[in-house]
Amino acid sequence: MSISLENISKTFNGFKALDDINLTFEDGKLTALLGPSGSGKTTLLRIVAGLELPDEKDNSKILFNNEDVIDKPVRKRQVGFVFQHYALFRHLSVFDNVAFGLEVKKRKERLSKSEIHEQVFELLRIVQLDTMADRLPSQLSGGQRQRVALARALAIKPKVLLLDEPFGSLDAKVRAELRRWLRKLHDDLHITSIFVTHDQEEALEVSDRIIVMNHGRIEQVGTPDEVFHKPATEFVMQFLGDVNVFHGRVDKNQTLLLNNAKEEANIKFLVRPHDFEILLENNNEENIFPVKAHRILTAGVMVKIEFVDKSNHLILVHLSHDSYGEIQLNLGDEVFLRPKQHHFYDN
Amino acid sequence: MQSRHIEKGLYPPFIINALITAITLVFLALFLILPLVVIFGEAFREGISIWWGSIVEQEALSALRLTLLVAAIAVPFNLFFGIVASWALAKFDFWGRSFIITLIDLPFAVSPIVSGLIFVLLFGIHGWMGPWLVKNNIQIIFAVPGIVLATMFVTFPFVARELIPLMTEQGSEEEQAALTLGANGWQTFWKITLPNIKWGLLYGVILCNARAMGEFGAVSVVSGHIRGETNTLPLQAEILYNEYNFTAAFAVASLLAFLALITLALKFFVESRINKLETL
Ligand SMILES: Nc1ncnc2c1ncn2[C@@H]1O[C@H](COP(=O)(O)OP(=O)(O)O)[C@@H](O)[C@H]1O
Ligand SMILES: [Mg+2]
Repeated sequence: MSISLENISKTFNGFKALDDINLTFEDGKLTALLGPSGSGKTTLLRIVAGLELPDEKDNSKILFNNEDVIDKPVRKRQVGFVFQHYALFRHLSVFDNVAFGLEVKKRKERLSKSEIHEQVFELLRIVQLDTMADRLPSQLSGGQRQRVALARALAIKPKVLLLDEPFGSLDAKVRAELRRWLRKLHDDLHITSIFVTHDQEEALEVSDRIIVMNHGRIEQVGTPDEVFHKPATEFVMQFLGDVNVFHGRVDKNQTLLLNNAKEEANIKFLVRPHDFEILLENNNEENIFPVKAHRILTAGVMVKIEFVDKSNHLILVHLSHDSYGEIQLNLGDEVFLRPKQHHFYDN
Repeated sequence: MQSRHIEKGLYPPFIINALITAITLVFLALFLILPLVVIFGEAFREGISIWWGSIVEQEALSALRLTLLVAAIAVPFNLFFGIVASWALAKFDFWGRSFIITLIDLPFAVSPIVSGLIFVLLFGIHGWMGPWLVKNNIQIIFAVPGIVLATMFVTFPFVARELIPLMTEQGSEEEQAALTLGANGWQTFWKITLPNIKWGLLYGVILCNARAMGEFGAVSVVSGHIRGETNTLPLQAEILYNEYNFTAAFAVASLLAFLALITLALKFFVESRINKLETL
């Protein structure tokens, strides 16, 4: 099922949490809502679910497959919602948590006890918790709770799955595991899914599409490749990884001059740490930076080098161990940096 | 549990420790246990049959009946409105919310005598609604309805005070989850909200009930002390005492003390359940 939002705004006590959002979530895709804390991701998700109403209801639309659901209450929207802190029913066992959505159905739509039992256990097997059906939520680890929450949301056969920071409060290793597992689950079930995250790596790794948000607005919509390689705004570029910022001028002849003097600059020039080439000598090129090696970190997947330029600006460079081995750089060495790839944005 | 982890150096020396404990025990014995012993001692001084005779005596029985009736009305009423008020105050944020939370404590803050007088001012013959009530032949003050109203007022805070912090802490995410899973408001209340507050609720109800049965001041003002009609157990005990009928007075008092002991036992049980849930 596809979801379209038209003219969605939300104000809390005069504060605009969402500012005129227009969006389409494609059928069967896993979309990430990516943005810093406070950018309105949760609010947007809650509006889709019906847990929150947009301002000016008359103007705005929430279309589920072209049907406007703005007047439908939460319980009739059939959305699977996984809350950031799970919101498991603390007094119910894992089994009863998952069975809840099936048991509150109207009598004529409700399945028999044995059918419910069967369906719940099928879901518990999918989330690998069938051996823990009798436990209370307080007797589970964070990752297990998360999976119960997911199974519970899936039990109602939702048309859309909404996940609010699903891995937010888990430790790094469990996180990476669940992330892959969620992707696989989505590939098996193909439910239109939206998940909120503030972790760009997570969004890049798991999703089909990414929506980058900031201050209640959409900065960019695109595939992970598009937002990473062609960031539409400076914000997106900054948010999707480390960047080095330089100030420069584009003059009348459209030639670029980097001088790092803020006063005369009319553009910002952004380079990712892995987009530099290190030259041992200056062969009279324009726009290369004489720098000195200030710190070298070799423990990690990449070698991370901090250079300083003439005016003591820090420049971060990432290098593969192989390339690092080739140039034989030592602390204090003076070399030249040439950007291989860059993006620039108006100042 | 926790005291075991406190470092040795934090304990006061043995002598001081023993002294503090001894003072506490003497104090407890003097102010809590001794009165209880006296009540039961006086009540049974002339033997069980005299005690029993004082209990099944007509006026005493009528006082017992009235006390149970008042509690049977006031407690369910406060149970219901306590839940409603706590729910509204804990799960929604609106203008004036904290003022209302403070206001709920009003019955605890004012003297019970004043609470009783409020109802006399409202419903007494010379009160605001007095003439209208007289015209329609409704009697509230110096009758059972007045006693019930005064008791409700005095005992209102017990349930709400117990539930508001509990419900505020639990938030409303579980309820929201229930709604997304297709539950309606009624199902959400019975299956999610109520089970989550049941022990706190029971605790509040026990305290509410104890006070409803034992309330003296407010009830005394509105009762009129009509023997066999508008006397509750505490009022009956006082009347008998003032008439130097000590044995009968203490017999009635022993009933109240007995109710108090049952309350304490229940309270102890519920408290240990709550603690167990919290450490889970
Ligand atoms: N119920 C609310 N009342 C008042 N302000 C809110 C409420 N919910 C969210 N906000 C505000 O709206 C902004 C966006 O919040 P949210 O959608 O939770 O952001 P995110 O999930 O991206 O961190 C925040 O500044 C937050 O303080
Ligand atoms: Mg959020």
